Amino acid sequence: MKMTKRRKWIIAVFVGIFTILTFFSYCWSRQSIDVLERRQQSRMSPVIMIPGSSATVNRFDTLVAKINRMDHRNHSLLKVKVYNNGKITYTGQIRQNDNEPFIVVGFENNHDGYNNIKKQAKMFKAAFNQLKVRYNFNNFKGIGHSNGGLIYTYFLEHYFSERQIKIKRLMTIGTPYNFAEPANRRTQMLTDFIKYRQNLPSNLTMYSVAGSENYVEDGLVPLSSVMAGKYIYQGTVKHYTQVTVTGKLAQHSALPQNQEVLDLIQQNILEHDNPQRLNGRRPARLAN
Amino acid sequence: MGKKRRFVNWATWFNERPFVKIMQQTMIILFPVALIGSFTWMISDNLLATNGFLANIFRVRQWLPYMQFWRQLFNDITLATIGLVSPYAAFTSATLTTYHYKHPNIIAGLTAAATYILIFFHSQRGAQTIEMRYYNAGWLIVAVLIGYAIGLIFAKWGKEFSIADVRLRDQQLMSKSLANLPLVVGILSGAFVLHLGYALLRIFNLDVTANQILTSSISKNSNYLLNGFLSLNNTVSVWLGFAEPVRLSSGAYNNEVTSNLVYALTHKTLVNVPYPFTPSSLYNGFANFGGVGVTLALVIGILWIGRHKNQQTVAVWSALPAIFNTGLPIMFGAQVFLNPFFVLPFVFLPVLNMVIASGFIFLHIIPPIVYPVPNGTPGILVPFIGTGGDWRALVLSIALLLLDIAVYLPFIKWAFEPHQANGGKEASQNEND
Repeated sequence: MKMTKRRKWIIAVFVGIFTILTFFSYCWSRQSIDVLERRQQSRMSPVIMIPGSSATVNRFDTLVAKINRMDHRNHSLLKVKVYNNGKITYTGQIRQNDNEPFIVVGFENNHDGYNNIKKQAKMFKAAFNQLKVRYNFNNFKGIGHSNGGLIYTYFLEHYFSERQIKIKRLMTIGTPYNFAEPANRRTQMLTDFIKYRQNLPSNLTMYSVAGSENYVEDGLVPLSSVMAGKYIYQGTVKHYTQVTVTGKLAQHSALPQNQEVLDLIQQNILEHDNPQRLNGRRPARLAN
Repeated sequence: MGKKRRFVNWATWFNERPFVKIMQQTMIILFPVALIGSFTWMISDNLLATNGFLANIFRVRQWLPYMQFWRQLFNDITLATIGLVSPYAAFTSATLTTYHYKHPNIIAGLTAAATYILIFFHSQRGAQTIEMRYYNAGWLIVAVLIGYAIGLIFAKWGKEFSIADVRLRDQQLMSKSLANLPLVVGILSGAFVLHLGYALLRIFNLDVTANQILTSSISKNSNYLLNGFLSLNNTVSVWLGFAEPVRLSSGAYNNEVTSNLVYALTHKTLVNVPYPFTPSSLYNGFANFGGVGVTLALVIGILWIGRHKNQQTVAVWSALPAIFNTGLPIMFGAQVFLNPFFVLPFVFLPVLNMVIASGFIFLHIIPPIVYPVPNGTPGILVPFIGTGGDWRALVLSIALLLLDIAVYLPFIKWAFEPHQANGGKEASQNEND
């Protein structure tokens, strides 16, 4: 095989291109594996919360303060606000060595309605993508109050495709899966949620908490609308549990301050690496 | 020697069949469209996409503002070129057919394009907009067939209407156009019936089922034979002219890939990962140098021994897309579809690569591919990146590429020899166009 000038050129060009590409991809690959390894070893497992419509990032202040008084673990509270123009701001910070901080993600557009839910889910995706790079966690827990639960559901069905990050547990509180409609009239949103339910993570443990002031509603959301969550989650995720709390503070907006709800969060959502510290009240655990 | 001569003679004869010839001429005419589309696809999907290879290694996101916007712009060019290549192919093949049978008629081309679009046009499926996947290269062969059939109809019953007729007066031109009207109406009515039938099929979602079965079986369980089956399925269907292969994107993470990754990240070693032979890693790693059918080897082979200046130009332009696994330009430029000269290396080299590579993995000479690899990573760098920068893996993939080139060389020689013997006329025609 003769080495013509052309063939020398071919070899030179291909070797040149591939040398450059190999060099850069080597650097990239080392760095990306480094990130993967650090994430794998990370011990942080935040609780990421989404408030309902018309609420701000301050919605869960009381809840976090009460939880801290209950378990003395001094969880940090970080508030993330997503603006309509894509800007994301942070208030508060996560204490070093705090493995279970609370992160609240709120939106400038906090209006009701299916279209807004979709927009907010997309905004939540943007915030989540920033959070995962900033804090490098490999698992997290979710809490959504009212429409926050709808945003979570939409997010999990459409935007959550992480190979290294796992959502371990999700609790929605007073979430109207069928808005304010009666059970026999399914909204477009519920229909869509049911249609894409297969996209939900199959190893998720899910709690849906309803409040009830009388026998049918929590003052705002019909019980049947919260219960409709079963058509989405039941049988799709690993565990689906439905709880109804009644009595004092079972009104829709008061639910995040309700002692029974706080107990449920502490028992079922938060980590228990040291069970001795749990003294005092312990209602029956719902699931493992 | 006799066997070789018989193969060359038969392949040459096969390439002279009217339909095959028209298919290959269509490819030649559409080459610029395929080339431009592939370049813009490379830009939008490799350089400007978040998970693209070039975007990652050059950190494009950090210095280019509005990356999504630019990406969308280039993606639009891709949609207008290779995204619509099937209607273009129907147009070209119908026109060429009428010229081939000495009844030139450009209305045939228009009718064929309209027919093709109508058959697969379906504006209603829930709230979804028009589906584009029947218009890209995936259904190329169907488009060429429809164009050929319509070309035949026009050659038999149509009234001649060639480009040269534009010199006629407007009235004469109109009378020619009107003379073809009944045929256009007839063919479009036929297309409407097909459209209706196809719409019914789609309501029951039959058209996507086959693809889903394939994809789900790949992402569920690992089975060594599946690797070969997947590769054969891809190469054979692309060779037949369904030119959009099933992509095993790096997003298709299944449990096995994940447990491999978790194992490697916790133990910090690739030795003894639980599933060393997952389909997506073997196929993406070794069967895909330069896109389906190891087309990078074909490009380099043509550069190495090609004699014609045209072939050289085609190969030079196709080289960059082929490096980033886009084989479409060279498949158009070297007329790979339905070409018996290329079927053997095109179909069997990927399988050979996978078998050799898995042998090396089995003997622990190279580690298995475990780490995630960005989309559009040059085929021969996939094993390197996927093993976290293991040099032995890089050496193996270069060696495999050299082997592939060596296997392609004789086929390239045979494919272009007969053209030189009796193809003088064809070559001069190309230059005139």
